[in-house]
Amino acid sequence: MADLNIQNIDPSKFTHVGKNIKESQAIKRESMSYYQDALRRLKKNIPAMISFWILVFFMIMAIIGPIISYKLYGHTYKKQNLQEQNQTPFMSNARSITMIANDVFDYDDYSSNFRKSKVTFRNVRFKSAGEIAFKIGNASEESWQGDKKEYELRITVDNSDTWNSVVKKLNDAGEKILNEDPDFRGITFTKKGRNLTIKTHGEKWFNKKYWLGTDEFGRDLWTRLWEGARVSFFIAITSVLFSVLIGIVYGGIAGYKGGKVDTFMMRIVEILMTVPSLLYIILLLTVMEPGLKPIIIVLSCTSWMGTARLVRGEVMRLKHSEYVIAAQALGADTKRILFKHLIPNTMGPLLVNMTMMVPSMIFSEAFLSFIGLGMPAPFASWGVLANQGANVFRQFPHQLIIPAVVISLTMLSFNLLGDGLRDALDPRLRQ
Amino acid sequence: MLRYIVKRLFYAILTLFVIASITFFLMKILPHNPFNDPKIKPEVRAALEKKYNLDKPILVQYGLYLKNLVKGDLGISMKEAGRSVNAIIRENFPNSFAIGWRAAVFATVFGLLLGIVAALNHEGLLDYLSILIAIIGVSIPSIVLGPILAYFLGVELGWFPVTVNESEWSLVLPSVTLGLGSLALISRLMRSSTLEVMGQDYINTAKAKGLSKGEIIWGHVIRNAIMPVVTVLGPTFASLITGSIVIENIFAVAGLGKYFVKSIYESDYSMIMGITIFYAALIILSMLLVDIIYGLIDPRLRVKGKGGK
Amino acid sequence: MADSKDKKVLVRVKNLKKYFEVSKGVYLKAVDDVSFDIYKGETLGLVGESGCGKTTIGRTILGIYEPTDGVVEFDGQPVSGLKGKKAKEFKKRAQMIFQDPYASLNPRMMVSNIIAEGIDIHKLATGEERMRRVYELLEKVGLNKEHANRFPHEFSGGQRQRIGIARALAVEPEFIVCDEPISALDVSIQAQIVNMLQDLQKELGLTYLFIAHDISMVKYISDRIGVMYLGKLVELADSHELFTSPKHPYTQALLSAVPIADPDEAAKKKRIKLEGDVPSPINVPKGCRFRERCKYAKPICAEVEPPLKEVSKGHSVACHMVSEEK
Ligand SMILES: Nc1ncnc2c1ncn2[C@@H]1O[C@H](COP(=O)(O)OP(=O)(O)OP(=O)(O)O)[C@@H](O)[C@H]1O
Ligand code: SF4
Ligand SMILES: [Mg+2]
Repeated sequence: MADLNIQNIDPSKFTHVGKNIKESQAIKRESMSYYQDALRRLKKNIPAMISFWILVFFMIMAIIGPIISYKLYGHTYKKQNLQEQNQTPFMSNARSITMIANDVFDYDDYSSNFRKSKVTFRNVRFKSAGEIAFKIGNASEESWQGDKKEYELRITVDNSDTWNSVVKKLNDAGEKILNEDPDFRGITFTKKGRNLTIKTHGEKWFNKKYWLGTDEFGRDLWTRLWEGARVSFFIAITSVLFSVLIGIVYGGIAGYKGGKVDTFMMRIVEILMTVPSLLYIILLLTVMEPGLKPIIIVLSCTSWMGTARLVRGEVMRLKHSEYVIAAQALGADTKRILFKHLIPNTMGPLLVNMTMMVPSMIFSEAFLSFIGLGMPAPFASWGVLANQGANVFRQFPHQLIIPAVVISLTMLSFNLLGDGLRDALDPRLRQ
Repeated sequence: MLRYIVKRLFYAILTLFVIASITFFLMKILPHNPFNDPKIKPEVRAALEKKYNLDKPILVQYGLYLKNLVKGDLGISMKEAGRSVNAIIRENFPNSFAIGWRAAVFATVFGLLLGIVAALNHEGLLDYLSILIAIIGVSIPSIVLGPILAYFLGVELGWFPVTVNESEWSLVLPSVTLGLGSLALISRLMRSSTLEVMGQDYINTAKAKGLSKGEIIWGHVIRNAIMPVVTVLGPTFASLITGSIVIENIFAVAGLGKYFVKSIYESDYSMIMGITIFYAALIILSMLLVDIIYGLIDPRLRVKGKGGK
Repeated sequence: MADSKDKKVLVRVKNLKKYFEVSKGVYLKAVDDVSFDIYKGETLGLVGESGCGKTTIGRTILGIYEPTDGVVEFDGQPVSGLKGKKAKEFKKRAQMIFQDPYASLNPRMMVSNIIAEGIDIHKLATGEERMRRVYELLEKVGLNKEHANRFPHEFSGGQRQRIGIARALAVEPEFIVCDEPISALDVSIQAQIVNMLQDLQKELGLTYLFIAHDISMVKYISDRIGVMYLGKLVELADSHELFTSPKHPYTQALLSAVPIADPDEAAKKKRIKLEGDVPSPINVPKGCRFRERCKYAKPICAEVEPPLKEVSKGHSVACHMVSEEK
């Protein structure tokens, strides 16, 4: 250790290598444009990517879905088949009947008991605050027999010494089971909340002809779902495009002109934005005939204000940015500044804005269908489907749940994708 | 401060005037008027048109309409003989309001709470829960959420009645459905606002001064974080009003929204017009109130007000 | 430096005023009646605190801002009101380097396109010739060919400033406004850039208006230095003269704040501390603008605005007390 003396080191062993300026200026990373870089960032965002592929899937299905079912079974979105109404995706020959207890009453407990060749409900008491006890009595034996197409299930209700009858009629498949199997073993009696359900057991099988079932007119829901996707996507995307176009022009003018013109134009936007666009949409659509074109016109005419604000802000900001001034100092004309500098730099936020607008358009379309101003029958759109489903959701929940899932997934995906895009493009994360 | 209120008030009235005018002229460019029905006899039609002032020149009609508006008279229904829009609003609006205010309170209270809790529990379980609720809130439209809640919580589980009746309990589902979207928005904003405030220097200063966690959160964080949230309350409440149109139809509430849709289906134009203006006025009023509240609690505006500027 | 008489004036600024209307009827006097000349081949340093109007002067000279009053002449021609071909010709001859290397490059453009922007606008070259020039410029500013197809965010601050310089050089200008080209950079990089600018000046015979807010930064590069305070030029002198015998109280205060490497020298120096704040350029005080912070202020200073007067050869000062001394 003692040998190691700095003074003793032979200087001739060292050479000065100098500083390689060229080397120090080198960048080792692969070159990427702003958008390539943003894309790379976006690809790392798992929720956004999942959303992206979900949307791609939906769009592909919107194109090929109706074609598949037409080629295989000849279904179209408007072809009715009144023999095959309200089918479910999983068919079953089980039949059930549900009685909703009157809201005034609350039940206490129940028990059920099945005997050969007849159904007996015993000791079912519905008790209200007023202590009125109900008893569901025997179904009379005769009513279960015979070749009648219809039979009655007679439930007798005891309301403080007065006997009332509730008569429910069952038909077709239910009868078939009862007739084929006089044992009635397959009948169950269940309660769920305030509902009493009498159900016959049966087999389940996948609905090969109508994959997602049918609606109240026997129209194929698979076909209508993807046909609806076409309509809804078309409405949403074209409305967004038109709306953004209006917004760009309006906001661009306001931002570029500045001063009084800007103040005036933005005041108008402020006033229009005070009231939710749905009110204008309703007003405008009551005036127009319902249809695809009016919906698109109205949706785009009532939703451009946000984009206008965004574009104005961006133009205002960029107008005074040093690189625009540099271009001006180099003698660039307005056209060049607009197309080489302002527009490319506004594309990012605009893209995010457009992505985020699509779900609100889908929502507006659905809302319009709901209040009767949407696409007229027999057209399908997701709003129309959700609305139809909402009308029958108690009996046929799938008619609501399927469009509901698809609408929600789409809106969710667009929102997550928009979030992801914003994060990927956010200039604050850069430099 | 007074200047600020007067200015807000002026814009509110201006906005309302613009909306009323748009509404009026839109209704006038309709290709047909409701009495064009060939089944109506000419004399009857003339009488009807006279009654509704449809025989006068359009600007006179506009003037009369504005005059009536100022008096608060929204006109007469064209389909329900002799019933005034005002009467119908008086009759149906209370039911809407019953749900509306519950939804507003639900959304604000739980939205703020959720946002604060999520921010304090940053990247924790509660935080992710709040993000989840926010995502659901913005992605599931009420026309879907309503029936689905009604189906699962109402029909399947039987916890709540599916339609609205006199009981408080039956108002739960519609209020929750109506308020969820706003709740999501408020909680998301409150979360980010709280996170931002917690990262500020003055919070570190407060910590360094030895204030307790509770004092810091209550005295500094929440007070400052809540300001940006207040600004969105106006638009949020406005969205509750349009949202109620859907909710009332799903849950069979005998409210104004249900009536509105009915008048759309029946093409009762004077009704549509009247209710739209009523809604617009309501929205503008709630925005104005929020603006004024904001002005009262925002110290920067207060100082400006004192300066008389 | 050589006598000003045998030098050719390239830029003449006469009674230049630039007011910004901040709200209705309220004006911000960013530049208020400033006159000076820039000679061909020299570097004029312009210093002053942040917000005193340096950038505004630079931009008005280049015709980016329209002057409120007064004239800027370039090579004998008034700059404002130039149109079409003449304006383009002027913009080819006079260029600018920017303060913020992050904000002055369009993030969406490739470096080659940024540098070639002037070439494209003035249609100086296309195709291979265009790229050849871009490579040449990159070499000239110490970058290399490979950097041409990269994007601004991939570069460090110093490298970006080099790109900005290359962009200005692309149109082969005679005059460049360097608007604080080094103040956003690390100290080690600052020297590199200043040296490079000096080399380029020698090589290409450039004239610079070199703006900085720190007086020590302009000392080495400038032939003459102008000191600004609140929209006014308060002192203008040869670089050496200004550092050895500053006349205006503000300049003296600025110089006293410059750190000196030699501890003996430093001990001798008395630091003049400036009290108070710079008044707002919206409500400019009457009389001398520096008066509220000036320890020599006399009653006349509150009444009459001191004009810029030549107190010795090539040394002008705007101060009542200085002219009285003489
Ligand atoms: N476009 C504009 N509109 C309104 N005011 C402006 C504008 N540009 C500059 N100003 C104002 O003019 C004054 C002078 O600004 P300028 O940018 O010339 O200062 P500077 O000396 O370059 O300062 P810095 O050292 O910070 O760059 C400042 O008060 C600034 O706020
Ligand atoms: S004019 Fe008066 S106030 Fe101004 S710098 Fe000279 S001495 Fe100071
Ligand atoms: Mg500057």
